[in-house]
Amino acid sequence: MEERVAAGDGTEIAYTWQPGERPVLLLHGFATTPELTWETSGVSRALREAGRGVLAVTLRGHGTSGKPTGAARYSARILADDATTVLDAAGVDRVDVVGHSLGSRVAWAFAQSSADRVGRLVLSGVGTREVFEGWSLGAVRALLRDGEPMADETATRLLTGAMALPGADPDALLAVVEGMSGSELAGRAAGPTLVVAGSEDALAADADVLADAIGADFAAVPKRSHLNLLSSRAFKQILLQFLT
Amino acid sequence: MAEISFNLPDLGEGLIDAKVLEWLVSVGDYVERGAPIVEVETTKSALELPSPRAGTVARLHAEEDEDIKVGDPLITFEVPDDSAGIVGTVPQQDAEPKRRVRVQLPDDED
Repeated sequence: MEERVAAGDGTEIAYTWQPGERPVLLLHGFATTPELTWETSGVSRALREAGRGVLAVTLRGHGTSGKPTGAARYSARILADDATTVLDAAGVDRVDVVGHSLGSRVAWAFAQSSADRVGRLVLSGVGTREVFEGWSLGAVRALLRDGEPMADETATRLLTGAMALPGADPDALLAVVEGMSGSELAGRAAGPTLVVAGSEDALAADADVLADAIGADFAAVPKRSHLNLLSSRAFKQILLQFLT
Repeated sequence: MAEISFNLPDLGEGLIDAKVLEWLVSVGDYVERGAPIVEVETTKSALELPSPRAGTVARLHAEEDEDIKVGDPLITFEVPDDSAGIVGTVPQQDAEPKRRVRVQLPDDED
């Protein structure tokens, strides 16, 4: 069942906690929800079947969580602090963490700031390049508010899909893009870390380079893209193996 | 033994077809109700579909990487004669179309 907790700035953060052994914190990507990212893909099921607790956060600006406007309310650090708030609310001391795409940047920030609460870390669907940095904010605004397609097809598809989701808020999504834009995934991994990407994932084409740079292991899933990596059997096998 | 076939269920959001990415079961496997049987991808997302019933897989009706339409045959189970008529409903969506993708199991159980 969905629970809610207020973050430091009053923003309500929604989460679900399914108790089990050695909890796993799940951080979804931009413009989606935990339901679409972790439930329908079968990732949560695979973790539950392995006996693991599953703590899934709805990132601020998304789904049923609060949606403050203004880019200053969104940064990898702020979203990572939301995760800390959720751990405290759920009474969970220590987690393994799995992020996808933007959620991987939040996962990294969380692991860097709360190393004592993180066991193993899995970053999926990310490379060295922060995707939003390449987007023109004016074009993003025109798409979100007026449905005007952007020159970047991937961006258009992501944002159009985002607006079709329940609870989508154009101003909040714009603030997410602006606030997270250019957020660095830099430094060295504090604990065991795995970068995993689909071989057809254009948004994570150099995921192996990222893995090297931060001192992480790397795994590629053949024939998989940014959008269908998580539901693959291979991803779940890699995930469970790494988190064991 | 009798056979029961299931079609690709309505995936919501006005989606009319899906691509079979990966079968998670093989012909001859015994599958529990609710266990994932196939991974499909729509224009919106990629998802696992749960088995609508327990049974032994008799046939898979699509190849991997093949597009199939909602309502087209997906899988056929072999089931004991005495249970064939009891269940066998295709998973139903709510009457009200929901925007999120969720595949529901029938309420009955064998």
